[in-house]
Amino acid sequence: MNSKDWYKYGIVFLMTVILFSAFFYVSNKLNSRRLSEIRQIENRVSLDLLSREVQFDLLSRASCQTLGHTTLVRELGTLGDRLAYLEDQRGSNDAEVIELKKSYSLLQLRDYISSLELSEKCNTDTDIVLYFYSNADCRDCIKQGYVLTSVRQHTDQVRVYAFDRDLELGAIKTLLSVYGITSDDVSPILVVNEKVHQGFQTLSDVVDLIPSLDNSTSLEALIADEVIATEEE
Amino acid sequence: MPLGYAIFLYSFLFVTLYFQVFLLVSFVENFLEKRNKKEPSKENEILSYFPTVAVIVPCYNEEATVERTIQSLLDSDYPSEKLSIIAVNDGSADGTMQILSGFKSHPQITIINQENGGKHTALNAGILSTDAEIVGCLDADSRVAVDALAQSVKHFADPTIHATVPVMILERPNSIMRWLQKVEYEIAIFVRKSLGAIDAMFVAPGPLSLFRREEVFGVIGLYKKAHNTEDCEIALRMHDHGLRLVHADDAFVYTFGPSGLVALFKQRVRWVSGGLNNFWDYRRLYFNKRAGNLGFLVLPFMVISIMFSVLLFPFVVIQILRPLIGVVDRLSVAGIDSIGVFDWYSVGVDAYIFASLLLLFMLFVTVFLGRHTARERGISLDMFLVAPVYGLLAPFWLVKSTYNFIFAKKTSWR
Repeated sequence: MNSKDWYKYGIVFLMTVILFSAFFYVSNKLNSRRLSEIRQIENRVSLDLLSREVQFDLLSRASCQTLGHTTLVRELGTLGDRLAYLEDQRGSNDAEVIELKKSYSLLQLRDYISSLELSEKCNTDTDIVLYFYSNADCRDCIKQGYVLTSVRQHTDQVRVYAFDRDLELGAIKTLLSVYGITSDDVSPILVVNEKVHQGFQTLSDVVDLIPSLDNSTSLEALIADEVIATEEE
Repeated sequence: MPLGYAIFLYSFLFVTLYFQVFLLVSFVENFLEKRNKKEPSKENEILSYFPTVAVIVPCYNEEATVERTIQSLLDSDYPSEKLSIIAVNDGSADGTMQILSGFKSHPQITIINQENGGKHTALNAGILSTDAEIVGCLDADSRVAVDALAQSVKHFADPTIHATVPVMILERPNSIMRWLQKVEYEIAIFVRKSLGAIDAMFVAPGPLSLFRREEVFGVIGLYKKAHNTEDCEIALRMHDHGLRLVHADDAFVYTFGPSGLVALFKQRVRWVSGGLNNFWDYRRLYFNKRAGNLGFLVLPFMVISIMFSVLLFPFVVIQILRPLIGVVDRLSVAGIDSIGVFDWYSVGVDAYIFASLLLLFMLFVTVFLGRHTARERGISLDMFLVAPVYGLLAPFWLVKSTYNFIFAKKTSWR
């Protein structure tokens, strides 16, 4: 081994360090951008909610038709999906993920309360599903998530709100106590139009629980697929 | 990802990337050196160095291919008066001896018939039966290009060179496994060329490795059984004695690979566990200055990469299976429409993913450079399949080889 060899070892080491540093830099940049994107969506949703709440207070001067919520539903859905990907990549114990989940949960709760009030005052029927899950070794929770995502994607008539039971948030704990759900109850738990259902609910079970889904053509096709998949299993 | 596993994974990626970059830098360095030396082109160079050469063809049940192998040597453009062929029948149970008998009256060919003792005994019988300046081996399922001998031998004009290793090309692939092996051999061409440039080759493979008879076998001794990988052991022994092996870039040899998965698996287990055993036997070379780049870089890297590949395989399997299980679950509970539109947000952006992508790209580059060295085809589909297929298969033979090494299990030739 001569000095030329050692020099080469050093140069190659430097090149490798530079490459590795670039990977970490790009990774951090992209992750920051993703976090920033989620925060922007949360800010937009928060503003939209505030706007709707103000509109709602002025209800006597506006018709119920102007209080649209379709865009808000989609934004919340997108936010939920993004957060799910982030949680999958960074883990449930990541501090940023926990903070974002808490904000998201509060936004959902505000939308939930707002939907209830709107429904009462405008005399509209909106089916609401509260979904409580746990990240602690609950494969049924993952499957339940797929079912509810599918419902949400195929119809705007149902509002689905998903809450992590293990999240340290007073508002979620209060909501759980309102429906008498205790730590002994097994996840996943669905509260459909005020009624509590424990354990995994298939797509056809969910359709049976929600009256407004009975006539959904697109969901009928999905249920047919689900039946075929179950029979093959 | 748990912290311990992350450290493990990133360390492996760093070491692998370092080695890849080192090989590429060595390859480019070698290319530039040769270009600056203005060596005569292959077509115009006049070879003036023709020592006596004896090529040993060890045979064990090679009736299907041995005639073609010997004929390729006879068709060589090496001066016939300087070339002798020694065919050693190592106790074949098929018609190999009958085929060899057909050559017994040929002035260039000597036939030795012996009881089965293993490849190394056949080679040693051949070495002991000749006084040629240069001796080499040609596996009985391989054939040489017309000018392969001359292109190999010319390197011995440099008195500091003691052995040459040719460019090995997998011939006429006729199955998916053989196509993928062809790509693997192209990667090996690049690796051997780069290792040759830094005097760090650790294998003198069966097909047409040539040696100075006196300076190598007369000094360091004959072939040993060496865990059924005598080609690795002789190379390491040469390094142990400060002898040099170089890569003969213009000497082409064509060989076959196993056609089926089971035969491939057995071959690779033999190679890897034999390699591990030889690396252990020559552990005195590790971080030893006289072993140069072999001791400081190549041998440690080989051991680390095998060890890490075995330990990281479960993680890789989980990373691949997790999204697949997710898709299956989603389909079973919510039907095909639930799959939805692909979202880039779901693609991971961790640093290890970028490192892996760069290593994959570098793999394509090494295949391309290997093909360029072999003067063969450019880009093809099998280049892109070798990583995922071998990525799934290789850990199994690595695990088996590691198990054999640790628990001293013997491997078989076939």
